[in-house]
Amino acid sequence: MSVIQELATGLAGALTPWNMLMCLAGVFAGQLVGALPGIGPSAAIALLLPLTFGADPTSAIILFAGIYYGAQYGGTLTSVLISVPGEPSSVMTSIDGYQMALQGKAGVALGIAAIGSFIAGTLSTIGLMLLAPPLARMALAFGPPEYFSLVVLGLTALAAVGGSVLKGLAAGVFGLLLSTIGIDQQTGVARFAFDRVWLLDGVGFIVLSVALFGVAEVLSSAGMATQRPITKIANLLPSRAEWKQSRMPILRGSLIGFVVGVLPATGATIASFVAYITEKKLAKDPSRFGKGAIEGVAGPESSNNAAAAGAMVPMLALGVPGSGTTAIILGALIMFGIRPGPELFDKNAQLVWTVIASMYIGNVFLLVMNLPLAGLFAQLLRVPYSWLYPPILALCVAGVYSQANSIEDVWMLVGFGALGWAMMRYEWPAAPMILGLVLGSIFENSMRQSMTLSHGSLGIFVTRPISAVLLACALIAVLAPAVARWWRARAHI
Amino acid sequence: MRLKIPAGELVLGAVFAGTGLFWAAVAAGLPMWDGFAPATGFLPLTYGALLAILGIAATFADAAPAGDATDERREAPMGRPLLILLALAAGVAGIESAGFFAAMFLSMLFLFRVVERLPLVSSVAVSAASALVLTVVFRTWLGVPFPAGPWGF
Repeated sequence: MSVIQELATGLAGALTPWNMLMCLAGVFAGQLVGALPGIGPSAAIALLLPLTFGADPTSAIILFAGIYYGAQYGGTLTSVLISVPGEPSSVMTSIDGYQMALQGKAGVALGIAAIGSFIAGTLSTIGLMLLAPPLARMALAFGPPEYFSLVVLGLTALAAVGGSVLKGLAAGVFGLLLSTIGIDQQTGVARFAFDRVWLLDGVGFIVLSVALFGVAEVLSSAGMATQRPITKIANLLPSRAEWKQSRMPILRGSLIGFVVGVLPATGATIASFVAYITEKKLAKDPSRFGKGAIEGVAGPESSNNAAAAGAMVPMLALGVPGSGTTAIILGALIMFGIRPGPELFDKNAQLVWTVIASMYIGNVFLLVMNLPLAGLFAQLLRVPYSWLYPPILALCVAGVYSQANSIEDVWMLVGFGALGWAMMRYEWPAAPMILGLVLGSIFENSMRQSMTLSHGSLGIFVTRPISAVLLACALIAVLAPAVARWWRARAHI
Repeated sequence: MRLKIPAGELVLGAVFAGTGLFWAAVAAGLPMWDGFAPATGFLPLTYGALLAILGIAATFADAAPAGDATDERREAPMGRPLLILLALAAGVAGIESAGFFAAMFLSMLFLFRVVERLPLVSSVAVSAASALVLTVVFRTWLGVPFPAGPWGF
C-alpha cells in the first residue's frame, strides 16, 4: 500500500469517536501537565498507564502521544507568562517570550507559538509519515546481533542526552540490572528473587516509571515550587508585520526540530536551542534577541514541536527512543504486547498509521485550544502546587497498586521514588533506567541468540555491517560529549 | 585543586556501586555459561561489575571544584521532601489495616495541614474529595480490590 492509502486507513481509525476523544483527552492533559510545574509528560503517561490496562492499545498510544506533543504547547504558557519553563524544551522560549510579556505582548507571543507549533507539528508529522516506513523496511533485515546493537545504541544514546554520560550510563545499567530480577525467560531459573514470591515477576515497568517520574518529581518540586505573578493575555493573533517576521523562523524551526528530533541522543531541548541560535545568527539585528524578539519565540517553539514528532521516527521504526517520554511510550507498547521496532510497521500497521493520523488531528485540537483558551489555561497557573501534589501522590499509589493488586509494589514505589528524588537532586537521569528495565530482556535474549549463532564468538557483533554501524554510533554517542568538552577546554587555553 | 562532592551525591554513588557489587556477588553463584551462550548468571555479573565501576566513576568525574556555584536543586532544603516521603510511607503502611480510603485521606490531610499549613476545612474537603474520587474510579469503575478498613471501606 502507498503512504496515502496507509494514511487514509489510519485516518479512518483515528476519526472514530472514541479515538478522537482519546486524542482530545491526550492533548488536553498534555497541555495541562506542560503548563503545571512539578509534573511533566513522562509522569503523566506513567500515571495513566494503569488506567489503560485492558484498553485498546491504539487508543492508549493515541492518548500518550497526545500528552507528549501537547506538553510542548503547555510548556510555552509558563515560559511566556512567568518565565518558568514548564518543560526543558521551552527554556529558549522564555528568553524572548517573557520579555514580550513584559512589553504587553504576551498574547502575541502565545499566539505565534501556537501557530508555529501547529505548522511545525503538521510538517513534522508529514516527515514522520514519509521517513519512518522506509527506515523500518530497511531495518527488517535485522537479526539478533542487530537487535543487540540497537539496544546498546538506544541505551547509550539516551544516556548521552543528559548532562553527564557516565551518570546516564550508570542509570541505564541499573535498569538492565533490575530487569534480571525474577524468572529468566530462557532457562526458567529464578534469579534475585531472594525467596520472595512477589519478586518472581520482576520489577514492573509501571512501578519504576511512576516512582521515577511521578513520586520523585513531586518530592523534588515540593521543596522548590514558588508562586510568581502572572502577566495578562490579550490580542493573541499576530499583526501582519509580526507574521512576516515569524514565518521563516517557523519553517526553519520546523526543519531543524524534525532533523534534530530524529537523531538519537538529541530531542526537543537541543532542537529549540539550535533553532534559537540559528535565528540569532541569521537576524539583521541580533541585539534584539533577549529583549523580546518574536523570532526568538517562533523558531524555538516550532522546533520543539517538530522534534516531538521527529523523536517518534526512531521510536516507531527502530524501537530506539530519543527522550524520556518516548522511552515510556516504548514501554507502554511492550506492556500491550507489541514489539516496537522494525516489525511494528509490518505487524501493527493499523496501530502505527492510526497514531500518525491522530497526530494531525491532535495538532488541530491544540491550535483551537490554544488560541481561544490560552487565558483559561493561564488561570490554572494560579493554583498553588501545595494543593496539587498530595492528590498526585495518592494517584501514584492507586495506580501502582492497581497494576497487580500488590502492596509490595507500592513499597517499591516508595523506595524507587526516594531513589529517583536523589537522582533528580544530583542530576542522575532517570530515563535510561526505565529504558534499561524495558529493553533488558530483549538485550539478553538477542545476545544469547547471537552467541549461539556465532558458536560463542563476540565477533558476530562487529562483522555484520549493520550491527557494526549501530555499535559505532553508540560509541560516538558516548564519546562525542567528552570530545566536545575536550575541544572547548582546548579552545579556552 | 580540591573537589566538592555533596554528601548526598556520595551516598547516591555508594548506593549505585554497592548495588552493583551485591549483584555481582550473588550472580557469581549462578551458572555462567551454557554451550555457546551466556547462562543465567553471566549478564547479572557483568551488569553488577559495570554498575560498581560506573557508580564510582560518575560520582567523582562530575565533581565540581570547591567554591563553584551550585545548582538550586542540589542546594534545596531536604526537610520538606523527607517529610512528604514519610507521609507517603505512613499512608502506604496504613493501607492494609485502615483501608485505602482512610490511609490516603489521612496521608493527604497530613500533607495539606502539617507540611503545607493550609486551612483546616479546605484541607479536609480536598483530602476527602481526592480519596473518594480515587476510590470510586479505581474500585468501582476499574474493579481494583483495594483493601477495606474495619468500617468496610
